[in-house]
Amino acid sequence: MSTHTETSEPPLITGTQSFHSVSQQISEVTEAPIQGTPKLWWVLMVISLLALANLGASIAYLFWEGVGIWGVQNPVGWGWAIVNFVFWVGIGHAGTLISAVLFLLRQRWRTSINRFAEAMTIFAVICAGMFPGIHVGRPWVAWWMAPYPNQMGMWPNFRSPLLWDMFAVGTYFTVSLLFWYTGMIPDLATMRDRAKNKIRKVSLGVMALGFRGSGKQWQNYEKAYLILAGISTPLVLSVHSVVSFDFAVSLVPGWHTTIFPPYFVAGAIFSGFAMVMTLAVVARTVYKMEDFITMKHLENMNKIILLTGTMVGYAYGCEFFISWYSGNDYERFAFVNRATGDYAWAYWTMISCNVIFPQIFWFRKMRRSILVMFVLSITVNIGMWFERFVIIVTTLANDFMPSAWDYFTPTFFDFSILIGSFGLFLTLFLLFLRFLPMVAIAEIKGVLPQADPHFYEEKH
Amino acid sequence: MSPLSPEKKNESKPTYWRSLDELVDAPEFRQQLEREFHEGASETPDDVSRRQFITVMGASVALASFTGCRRPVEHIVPYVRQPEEVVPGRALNYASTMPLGEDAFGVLVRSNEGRPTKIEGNENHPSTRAYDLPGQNKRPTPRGAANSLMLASVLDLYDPDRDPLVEINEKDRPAHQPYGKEWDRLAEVITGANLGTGAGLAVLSEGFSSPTIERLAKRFGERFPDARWVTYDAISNENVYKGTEAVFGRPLRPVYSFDRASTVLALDYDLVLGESNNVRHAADFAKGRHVKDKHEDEKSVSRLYAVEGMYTLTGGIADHRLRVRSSQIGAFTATIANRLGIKADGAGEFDSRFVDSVVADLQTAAAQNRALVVAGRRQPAAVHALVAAINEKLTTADSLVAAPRTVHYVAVEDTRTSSTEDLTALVADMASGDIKSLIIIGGDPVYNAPGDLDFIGALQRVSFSMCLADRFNETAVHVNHFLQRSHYLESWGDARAYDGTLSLIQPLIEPLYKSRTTAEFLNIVSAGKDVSGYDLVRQTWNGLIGAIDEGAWRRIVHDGVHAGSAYKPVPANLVTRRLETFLASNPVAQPKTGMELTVTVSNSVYDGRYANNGWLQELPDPVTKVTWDNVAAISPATAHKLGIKRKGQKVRVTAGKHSIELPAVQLPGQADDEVTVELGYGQDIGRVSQQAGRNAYALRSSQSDTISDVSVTLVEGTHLLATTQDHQSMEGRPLFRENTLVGYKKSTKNHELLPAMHEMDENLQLYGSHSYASGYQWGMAIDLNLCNGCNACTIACQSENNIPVVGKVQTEKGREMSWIRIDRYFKGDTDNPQMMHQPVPCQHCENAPCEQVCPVSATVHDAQGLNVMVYNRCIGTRYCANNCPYKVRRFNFFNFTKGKPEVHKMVQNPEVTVRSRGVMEKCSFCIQRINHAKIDAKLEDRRVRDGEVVTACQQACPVGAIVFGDINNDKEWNPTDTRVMHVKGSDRNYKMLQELNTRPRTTYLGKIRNPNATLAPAVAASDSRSPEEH
Repeated sequence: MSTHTETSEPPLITGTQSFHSVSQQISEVTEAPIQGTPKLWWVLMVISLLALANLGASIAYLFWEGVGIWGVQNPVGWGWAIVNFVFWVGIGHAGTLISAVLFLLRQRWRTSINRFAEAMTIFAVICAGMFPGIHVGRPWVAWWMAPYPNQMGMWPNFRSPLLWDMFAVGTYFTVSLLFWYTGMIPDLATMRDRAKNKIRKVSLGVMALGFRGSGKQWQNYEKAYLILAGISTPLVLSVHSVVSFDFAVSLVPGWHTTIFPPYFVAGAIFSGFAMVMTLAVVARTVYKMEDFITMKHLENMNKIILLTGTMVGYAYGCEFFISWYSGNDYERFAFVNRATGDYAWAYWTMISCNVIFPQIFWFRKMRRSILVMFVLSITVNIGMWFERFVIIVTTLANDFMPSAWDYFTPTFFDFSILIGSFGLFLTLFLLFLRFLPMVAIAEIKGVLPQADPHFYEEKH
Repeated sequence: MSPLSPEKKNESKPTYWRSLDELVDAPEFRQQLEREFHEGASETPDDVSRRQFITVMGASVALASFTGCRRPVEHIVPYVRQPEEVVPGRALNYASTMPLGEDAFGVLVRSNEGRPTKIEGNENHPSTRAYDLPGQNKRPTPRGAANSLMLASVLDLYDPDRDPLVEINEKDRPAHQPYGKEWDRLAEVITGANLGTGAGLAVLSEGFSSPTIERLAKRFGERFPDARWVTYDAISNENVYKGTEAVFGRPLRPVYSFDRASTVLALDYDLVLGESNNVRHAADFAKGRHVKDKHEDEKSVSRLYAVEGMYTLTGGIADHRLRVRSSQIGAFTATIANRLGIKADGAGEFDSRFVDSVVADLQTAAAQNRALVVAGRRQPAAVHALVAAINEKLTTADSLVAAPRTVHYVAVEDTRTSSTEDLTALVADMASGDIKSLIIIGGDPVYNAPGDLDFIGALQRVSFSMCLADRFNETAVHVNHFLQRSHYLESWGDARAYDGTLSLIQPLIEPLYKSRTTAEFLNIVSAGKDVSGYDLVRQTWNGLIGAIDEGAWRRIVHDGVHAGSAYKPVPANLVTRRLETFLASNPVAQPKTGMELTVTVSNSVYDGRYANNGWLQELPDPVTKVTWDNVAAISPATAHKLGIKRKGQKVRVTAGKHSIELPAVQLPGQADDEVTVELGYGQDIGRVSQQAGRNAYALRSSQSDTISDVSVTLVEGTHLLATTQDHQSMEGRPLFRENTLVGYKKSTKNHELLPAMHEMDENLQLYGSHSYASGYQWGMAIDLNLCNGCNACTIACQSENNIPVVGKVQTEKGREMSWIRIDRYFKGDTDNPQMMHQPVPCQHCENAPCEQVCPVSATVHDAQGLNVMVYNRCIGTRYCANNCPYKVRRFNFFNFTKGKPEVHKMVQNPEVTVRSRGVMEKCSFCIQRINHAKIDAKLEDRRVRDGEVVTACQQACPVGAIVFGDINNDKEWNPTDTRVMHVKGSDRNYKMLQELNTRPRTTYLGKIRNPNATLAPAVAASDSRSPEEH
């Protein structure tokens, strides 16, 4: 292999960055006084807090009155709450994929985006985890799903996919949190060292767990990070597979299908990347991080969106084919009904947003247009939300018994809680941007040209 | 114990010793003497001493009681002296009678600690005797059946609007009314009114059939000889009597024996709902309809022809149905009469093949006296006259004998029948001032007088007006004195059943509010004395059946009926000339012009007297599936013509001067250019009834229930319609299976019998199955051939299992709670499709999809094969409902019992948990009844007998379509088949959605129609496909 091509590869970090300037530019965001916070941040924060307050009020009313305030009914027992749950869990996946899988594959371009992609994962899983808890009829006893020893010898039902789900999402959250935190330790140590006032010194000192940057510590740190990446990687596949079991293990036509696990995973990565894209574009603009989050990063992500979007499209086609091929009348009806029945509008919204629109990323020019990618990333997430809506609501609305068929109509509270979940997500995300290093400082330094003692002369 | 050792002995050794320890003076013994309790008795195993325990417990109790501080303290009062026969926790049943116009239904009322909570039919009463499928070599025990009105009447007792303290709008409350106190000064008021001999006084009474009321009405006549007595009911058999009077010379009541008829022609007659004596008729019809097995004699299965304008349940169970506008029923009757050799003008043009088949079948049946023609009571007198003539023509039997005739006639006694003519005259006299005082007994004439009579206007001209009503209703608003009448469950009274059997009404409870019965009221008015209903009834019966000893009286009270007191059949001598004269002045044929309107009795709330009953309001109409509303039912073709596209689009129906706006519903099978509107809705007073529908009495004419040349125009807007079933087609799925009798008899293979989808290997499954080989194994079979869709099971279940009413808005959202619903499907072309009904309770799958997915095991299987719900454990994920292929699970989206009136608590069955919000619920196979039977059996050291457990739905069903029992086929356990096993052994037995391998315990028996071969293939085998197509 010629070294020439290696050296001529465009650098991952642009501009004239030094080790110090990297630390400076990323840390100063968190160190800025209140007046130094960008105006746009405040605007976004106020909007997010309003949405969050709305979530709190809606949930309070929900707990007071009961889930009847939503549009759920017979036969559509699961409505937007579960749609939102699957949606948010899906969003989380890209974070893990970027940080763990791309790390293991030595895709070093990930370093610029992995930190906030991981943060996004955590916040998305928090949003997701909220929904199963609040959607149950008696939320004050939702903890009965947990296996805990009790005097009645009463255990949860280990055959229920909902229980698997709880373990899967719980594990996912825990591992993601650990992974995120471990990756942040060197940066927290950097920030501690830069800290001027006592409070920052102490708090960051505690959070940095005594990391001093010794060779031994770096070695341990790298090991721990590698192991956690190894643990996280199967979770990328398992979590959404288990979520898909909620549907696949049931016998409802339109749910009862073996394609669901891979199809859900592909969809999750698809939507997750779209969400990372949305956030990356925003963060890049608000905090002027163009040097770190370069066009190369964005283009790479757009390629993945194109790939996973096409995979999802394949899954849609495959479902249709199998439902026909199965010879099962109920299955056939379920799928034909999705495309032509009462909810055809939702189905075709999904197809347009997820399969048709992303095809513009075949064009390089489109892949590199900030406006196009920003709009498309939002479109994809709308499409992926509708995918879950189509799967959950349209399936339940028309299953085995035609006499029980009914049409689901969302209520004000369905909307308000969906909007509220975005409020929760954005509030957490904005706080993260403001108070924690949004880009992995230590890792970025590793991909700076000056980090390579051989200056790209030779690589073996 | 220490060993006996010499060292331990000392001088102070007792002479008498209690134990060897004492003898040797062991340290353990000394210790024991000092201890308060024996070792181990006052210590807990884990080193917590008794005192510590008490300390902690005391503190906990104290703390726990703080949480109780917010709760109201409710006192329970025990019996000071235990009433005889009352065992707390054990319900008692009392026989009584529910009067309904001229009808009287025998009821068996369950009383829980003095609260009537549930109505069943009385098996001793001729009007409520159910039909039951025979078992193997066993006759089923006699069973009483009920219709939805009887079952729901218990809720009317606890109607909060009967409460004198109820809030009534000031504008609705007559100025002087101390609500409920009127009774104390009734005698004074009557005296003060100076009624004299009754000149200018009129009584407007509802129809009744009661010896005591009749006796007191006569007494009233003696006291006020110049007073006029007018009887009016919105729904009555007035036209029937007029018709029989025309041909027989006096008004006679036809009594039908549907079980004897092999060919029935129903002319706008709904034998299931809406007509008199419907429980008995449905049961009798089922008896003649029962298909035992493939070897059933074709001749023993009856055939039903229905000719009607709107789709009724009778049309649904008919083998052939002809869609004819209501006004043209007369012409059709004349056509049939002519073909049978009776001269009648006005025959029309009808499907000749249909007419030929009807005539041929009637004549064949007539050879054995097994033909029967019946006409609905809203048809004019001429039709009834002609029908009576046809029936006589088709009968050769002696007219004095009931059997083997399919119809015999009786002269009614103690009965007053509605007369619209009398009402018309009365209104005219009230308006002219001839009638100055009016006493209204029962009914609600302000609400339900025909729209062309200005009853309110006339009433305002009456100077003294008084009404006795079941609750504060529209009439009560417009009179000077409102008096509340006792509910029949609080009354002593009597009634005559449709066949004349004397029936007794006994109270289950002291009147909840200040009220009196009709008899007591009449007694006060005419005699000025407040005599108890019991005494009035005893006096009447002493005169009726002579002085009887106390034992015989108690027997009657116990049974609820005086056996053998039915009217004797009377000679029905048809005078042809009289018929011809009558028909000449009352032409049977009506002109067929423009759009016509038919107002009809509601399938849910009758004539409106039950409109304040939430159970009935939420009960879906069996045909349209609409709840909480009356609608303008029109055929799809007419809807197209009017430009109606959406469900609930509003139309304005104008008849004469009056018009109302109603939501339109396209009803397949409705006659074109005919709009049908149900009566009984749109009341202005009543916390429930005023929420529902529009008042169609305004459109009604005092001449006829069918009004021609009405205008129906589309108006802006859509009405929120709460239907419980939106999809009418079965989508070709084999849910409801049926065949023709001929096809069934010919079939050799299962799928020919009742075509199905692929049958699945039942051994294939992921998790191991439970063992169902031992003990009781409960199962249910539902015979679709017998079911007619009458809704009785749904209400019975609602009453038994404390199922809440959720209201119109929630019903519209699909949150109705019924544990047993009745699916209604149409088949065939939309102009005249077939209608099918299928009751669907929980199927109690052995391989239940709901159980597997519940994360907290709140729905589990028990050893008896029941799929049970553990409400306490349920957290409300609703996953079970999603995974239930039968969609029978119901979720408490809100706390549906919150905010219900306090008095409603009295109707709750104490043996069934009242569910709160956030939990799932569903049919439990009436597990409380199963457990009762098991406890009884255990106390008597025996097994539960076959037929001892009767589910609420089964108990109500007039036709015995539901059979329940033990299905364990272990020969040692059940040496002979139980009735349900026998029924399930039928080759018509099938499992719904069997291909899912859910193994339901509830199975269905396919429907068998019996079409006339010359009219076939009007009925194809089924709309489900045969397995070869897959």
